[in-house]
Amino acid sequence: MKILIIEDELKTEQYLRRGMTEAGFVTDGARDGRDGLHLALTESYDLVILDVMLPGIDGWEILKRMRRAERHFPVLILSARDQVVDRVKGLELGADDYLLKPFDFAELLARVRAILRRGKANQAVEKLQVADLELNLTSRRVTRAGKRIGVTAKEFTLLEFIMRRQGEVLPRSLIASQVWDMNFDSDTNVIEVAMRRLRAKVDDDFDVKLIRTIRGMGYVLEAPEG
Amino acid sequence: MVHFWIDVDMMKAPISLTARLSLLFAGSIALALLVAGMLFGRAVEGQFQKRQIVELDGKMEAIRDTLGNSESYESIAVLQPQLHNTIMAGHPHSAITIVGSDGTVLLSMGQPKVVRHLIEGAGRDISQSVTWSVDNDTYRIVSERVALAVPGSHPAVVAISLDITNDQEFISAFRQFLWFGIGLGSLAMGLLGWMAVRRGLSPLRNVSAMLGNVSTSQLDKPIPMGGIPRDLQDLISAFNKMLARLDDSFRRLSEFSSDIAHELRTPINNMMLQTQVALSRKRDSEEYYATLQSDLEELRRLSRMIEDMLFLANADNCLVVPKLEVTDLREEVAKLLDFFEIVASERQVSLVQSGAAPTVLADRLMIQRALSNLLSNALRFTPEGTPIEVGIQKSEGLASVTVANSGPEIPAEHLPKIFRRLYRIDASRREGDTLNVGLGLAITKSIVEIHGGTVSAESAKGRTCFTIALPLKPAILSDSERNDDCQGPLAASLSSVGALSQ
Repeated sequence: MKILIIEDELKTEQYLRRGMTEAGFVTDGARDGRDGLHLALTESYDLVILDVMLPGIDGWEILKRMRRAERHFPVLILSARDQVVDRVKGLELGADDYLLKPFDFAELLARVRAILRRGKANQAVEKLQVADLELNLTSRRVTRAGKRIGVTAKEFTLLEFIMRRQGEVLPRSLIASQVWDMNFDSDTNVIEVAMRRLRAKVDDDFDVKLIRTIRGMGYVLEAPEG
Repeated sequence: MVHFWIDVDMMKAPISLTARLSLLFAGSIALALLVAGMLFGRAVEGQFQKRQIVELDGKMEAIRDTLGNSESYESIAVLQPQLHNTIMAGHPHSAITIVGSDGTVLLSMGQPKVVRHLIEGAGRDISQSVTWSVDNDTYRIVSERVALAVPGSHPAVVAISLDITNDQEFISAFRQFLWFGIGLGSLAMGLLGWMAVRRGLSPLRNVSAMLGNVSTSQLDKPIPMGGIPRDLQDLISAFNKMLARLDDSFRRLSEFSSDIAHELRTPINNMMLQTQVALSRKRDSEEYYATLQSDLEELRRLSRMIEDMLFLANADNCLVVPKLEVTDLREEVAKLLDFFEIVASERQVSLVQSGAAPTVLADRLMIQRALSNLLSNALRFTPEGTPIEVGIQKSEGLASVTVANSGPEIPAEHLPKIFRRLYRIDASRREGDTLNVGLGLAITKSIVEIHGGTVSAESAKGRTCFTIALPLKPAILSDSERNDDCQGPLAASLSSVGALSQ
């Protein structure tokens, strides 16, 4: 997966590229609008992360010219301006998502993966499996190492969500919005409590822990390496 | 920019209040004097004219008598010395002519040029007196047809002129004196008026000097009302009220800024401290990891605070446009309670929902945020084992949600202020976890007001109750009903869902 990052702020660009590279993506970077547009028009990418405020040609213009040139890579807009108009404008111009600075890196990563996953039909699977943890979508049963685990309806939804996104660090805000439809940055510790309870059921009785807390970032469910 | 406008204003108003009042005063006095002078002048002139006419009438009467006794033209001719004595006596410049109907001059005496004029005018029968000026002299002339006693004769025209030069001179001198008097009087009155106005307006100058001295540090000091004339008291009291409102806003603003600075300083201080300590010597990666984690928590706190402040600032500046959609409050509350249930049950707090209301036209996500702030606030203060009751009610055109919980009462003096930004009942205490910066209730208020609704709080008998009331459909209020005018975006947003709601 190859990602183009157009961002003029040096530190942001460096760390974005580093973060994306470490997350397993191949990245190209551009630090002004002209270079960015050139790369977007000549190279091929799976996704473009585009800052709005750029010297030379701004993000809107790049997006417009890309679309005019029939370059239809998905675009994720980064903006420091909290204007509803900006969001609407970005989506109207054909951006795929919009993220406001400052953002959580985990949030960005989750959204990038969501965009890249788009179009690939959610296979109508009957069950999800991570290591010895199984979640049966038709019978709504959860088992680990063959042992039945009793979960509430919400816990089932939560587990399904993090199993579908296995290996991804999921920020709290994303979990709140996807599982509870709560779309605000809550100052409560609801997600912590919910994850703690889920973990008590899924991991506590087993030596191999599947759910991990990445402090300050979010949660990840994955089978331990090796 | 501001200075520019002030300058233009000053140029547009070149005349001072004092000058304006003095001029008006002088002008009206001059007008009054002028009218009086004209009337007086006319009266004097009329008086003179009347006297002249009486005199002329007397002479005419005498001539008529005399002519009535003269039975021949010859006897008329010899009347001259007699008439000279009776009529011309004392009026050396008068003249008399008697002209027969055939144009023959029966009798003439007096100054030749006057006599000539009278004879020329004899053809015209003038019953009214006229004035006639020649060279520097002025005459009043009367003429009349008088029947002669001479048998078979036609009436003759008798003309008498009276020299009124002296009278006219007197009148014109009098007029001049009058104009001069009026001019001088007006000037004097203008000057007096100017002095009076200046004196009368001196309280105004004192007041402006006082107003000029008002600085932001003295907003709390009202202009003293003592010694201010009653006319200005309304103005000053209105000004004092404005000052009080300004003081309140200014105080809140500066408190907010200093609170914000303090709020920002705390996480920054934590980060600097822990990062510097971490860097002060070599450590193992676990320790660096912990430091970075801790930094991240502080950064998240900062980021959240900035986001909240930006939201409030945007709301203040009418930049927050609600995306109106049909929203079922019961559904939203149920979803929120489902979310908060997890933390509530940890503290043995039950969440109870009751009531229903028609759907409202509102921004669903904003309402979610507003309600979640009330709920997390309630959760923070509800003692273990007691319920939080969330009631939905409907009243005229409104749907309201009430969040009630038992717990420590909010003292009455704090109630009106708890929706203010960063307001804390106990300034030294931070309630709740570190993420709570005290903007939640302010944001709730802001969101509800964007929708044209109201927030309120009550606290009594160990029970605290927050209510938000939303109009079923946000009304576009007229400007007079609202101080801040954020109706534009709301109106636009409302019209975009117009089709949906009808």
